[in-house]
This record gives sequence, structure tokens and C-alpha cells, in this order.
Amino acid sequence: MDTTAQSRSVAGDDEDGALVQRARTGERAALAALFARHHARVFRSAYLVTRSPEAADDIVQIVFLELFTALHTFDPRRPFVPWLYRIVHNVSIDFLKRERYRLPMVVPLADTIPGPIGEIGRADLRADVRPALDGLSAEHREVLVLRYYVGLLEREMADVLGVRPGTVKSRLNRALHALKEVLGPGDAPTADDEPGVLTGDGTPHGGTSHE
Amino acid sequence: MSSRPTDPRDAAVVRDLLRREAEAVASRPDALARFLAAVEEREAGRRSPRGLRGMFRSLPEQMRSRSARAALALVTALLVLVFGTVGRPVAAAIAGGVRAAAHAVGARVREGGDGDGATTPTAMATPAANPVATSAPAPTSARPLPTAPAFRDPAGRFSFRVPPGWSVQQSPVAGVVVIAVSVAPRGSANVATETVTGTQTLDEYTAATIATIRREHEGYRFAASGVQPDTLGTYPARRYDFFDDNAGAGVRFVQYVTLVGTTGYVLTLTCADSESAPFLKQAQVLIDTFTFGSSP
Repeated sequence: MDTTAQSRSVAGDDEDGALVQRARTGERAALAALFARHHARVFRSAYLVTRSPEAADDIVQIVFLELFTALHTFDPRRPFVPWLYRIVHNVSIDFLKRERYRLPMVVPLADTIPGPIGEIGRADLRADVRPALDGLSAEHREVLVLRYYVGLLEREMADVLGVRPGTVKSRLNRALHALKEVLGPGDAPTADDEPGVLTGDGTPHGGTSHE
Repeated sequence: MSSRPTDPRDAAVVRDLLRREAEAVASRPDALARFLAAVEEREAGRRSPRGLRGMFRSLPEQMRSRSARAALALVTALLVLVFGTVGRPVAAAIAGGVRAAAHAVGARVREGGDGDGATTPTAMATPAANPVATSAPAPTSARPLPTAPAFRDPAGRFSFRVPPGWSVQQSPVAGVVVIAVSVAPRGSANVATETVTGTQTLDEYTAATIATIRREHEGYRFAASGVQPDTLGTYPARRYDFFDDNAGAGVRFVQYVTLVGTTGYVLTLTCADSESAPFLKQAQVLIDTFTFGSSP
């Protein structure tokens, strides 16, 4: 276990909990502080899942409004980040369902298709991560993002996604295999690869890399 | 990556991939200001929930205070109330996004200006046009364009005539140029473009497009008719149909794919499966007048 990450996690949760308590009393500065602490990662997570910066901007607004109206339901004894990302998950799912009905068009990404159709080579794929992510389903992207970008534990992910921990594990496995298929064998990490602590936008979240 | 998915080396690769992609984007600089403005607006609405406008604004709170079934019934009833020409099945079709629908309904009432339900039916067909508009002051998504008998791509790449009764909206999705919406029968059309690399033939490009859809939407069923040769704007095209159960509210898709130089065009028609015959009949106007260039 990464004790450094763990200690940051506790401190971060304490700070979030204190901000929530103050925000509940109507203190706008505390609400703004919560937004400032978390909106960048929420935005980027939503972008990674939906693949649309415009959608991610909208999702950020909805998520924090939902958070604002649900502040009274937050249990300060529990970590804040998983609670927040449960809201993110619900809002993102709503968005994706809606888009599926209204805009079913998946902009074709011929370049992500391996084989003779896509002329692009493996090296180019490695150079551009976008096609790799676009090649995954939204469900697969979401579990990867929650685990490896947000840094949630699998049991926290189970809570966020409303599924059993075993389902999270198998979903993660499938997502990783799908990613492996898109990236191809050329992307096998070398021995120099280190687990590292997720940095995301520069602020490590609790629960990262210690499962 | 190694064969063991939880191998920490895998984690390092995935983390790096996600980090690189995430760092390529940034949220709007006014995000905090929009949020705080939305909070104030919501609070103002909560303090003065009068009339139908107040009902819509307080809908998310009402929904939270009821069971999911009751909340859905409430949303459905309100949708039917406001969009009298649109039946309950449509509301049910968007039930998966109950909260979002509530947001959208509130938004449209507000944008309608009078707050008494005098919203145009077009809003119903685009429940997601601005999912935060109940509270956010500056919509960033689909904005209505001036009504016109023809749509011309601002970049001058294509144009088409808009079927009577349809409306045209800008797309909030990158790569999708335009959305044309029909309320009755229910459906929409959109045009997506992309730059195609390499020297793909139309059939290869079509196959790649279908493969992407199959991978992204595993539940879609493609029609047995397969890929049919067709034309779009006098250019050779390929057409295929596919379906989605959509939780019982069946949806039918028809796509036309063509290549013009190094640009791929995909015209997607989407409609309630039960209304596909009248919808596709109306959509034929768009297809027949689709022109590459600016004069449909």
C-alpha cells in the first residue's frame, strides 16, 4: 500500500468533508472551493468517457448542481470522492443514453480499425491515444477512467457503478483486454514501467495505486 | 500489455494513456461562474415555485422526494401536459434520462419565455439540447438555427432541403455538422464528416464505419438487407439499416455513407421504429435534395 497516497487521501477527505459541512450552511465560498478542487478531474473524466468536451462541460455543471442539492445526504464519515463520482456516473449514463437515442451516429474512426482498412501503423496508434480510447465502448472507458484516472479502489467502483466487486473486476479485465487489442502487441510495457501514482491534473486523489 | 490485466505494468500504460488524453482538454474558463450563477438561479426558483414554471424548476427536488416510479410518472405527465401532441411513448423512450429530461423540460419552458407550457414541440424531440439549462445561463449545446427551407453547411461542403415541419439545429457533438429534427413522426437526421486518411475505397470506408458501430454499440442489430449501393448527392454511396431495442422503445437507424475526395460523409436517419414508414417518406426530401456544394 502506498502510505503516502493513503495519508493524502485521508487529509483530502477531511478537507472535503469540512467544505461540505460549510456548504450545507449556505456558505458559497465553501461550495466554490469544492468545485475548484474537483471540477477539473470531473471534467476530464467525463471527457474521457463521453469523448466530447462540450458534453463534459455540461456534465460538470449538472454534477455540481446535483451535488449542491444532495449535500445533506453526504455522510461525512465516508470518503467524498467515491460519492462525487457516483453522481458523475449517473449523470454520464443519462447523457450517454440520451445521445444514443438522439445522436446514434458514432463518427466513424476508420483509423482505429486494425487490418487492411486502417492504413495507420502501430507506431502511429501509440503516438495518438485518441483512437485507442475511441475504440473502446463507453462502459469500458468508464471503468478504466474510474480505476486508473480517478484512482478509485475496486470496492469503491462497485459502489459507484452499483454492481458487485466481482463485476467490477471482470469489467476491468474485459476493458483492459479490449484496450490491448486496440493498442496491439507493440504497446506491451517494458520493465521500466512503474505503477506510479496517478497524477491526473496534478492532484493525486485518495485511494490511488494501493489496491 | 501483459496477459495479467491487473499487472501493475498494465496500470502504468493505462494511466499514462488516460493522462495524456485528459491533459489535451480543459473545461471552460467560466465554469465556476456558470455553476455559481446556476446555484443562485436554482435557489431563486426554490424560493418562488409558482405556477408551471415553478413546477418545472422544482422538479428535480420533487423527484428526489418521491419513489422512482412516482417521479417517472410525474415527468411523463408533465411531458404530455406540455407537449400535448407528443404521446407517452416518447416520454417513456427518454425515461432512461429522467433527470436530464426534467432539466430539459425546465429549460425549454424558460426559453419559451412565458412559462405556461407554450413551448414548441420541437423541444420535445431534442430533450438533450441543453441539459443544464434549468440553471446554467449560457447554453453551449444545440442552438436553433433560423428556420429555412434549405440547410447549407457553413463550410460550403453540402446542403439539403429541410422537409416541411422539420427544424434544424446545430450539433453539440464534434464531427456532426447538423441535426434536422421531426416531431411527428418522431425522428432526426444528422450529417457527420471526417477526414479520411489513406486510400480507402468506399466499401472499405463503409466496412470500417460499420465495424466501429458494432464495437461501440454491441446491442444494435443490422438489417438482413445488408449494405446496399445507393447515391447521395449524385455520388456513389452505401446504405444500411440497423435497429436498437432502446429498452422497448425500438429505434431504427438508416445510414448513408459516401466519400468525396478525402472527406467521408455519413448521413444518419434515426426514428421511432413504429413510425419509420412516414418518417422515412418525409426524410426522402432531404435525401433527394442532398447536394455537395451549396445549392440544394
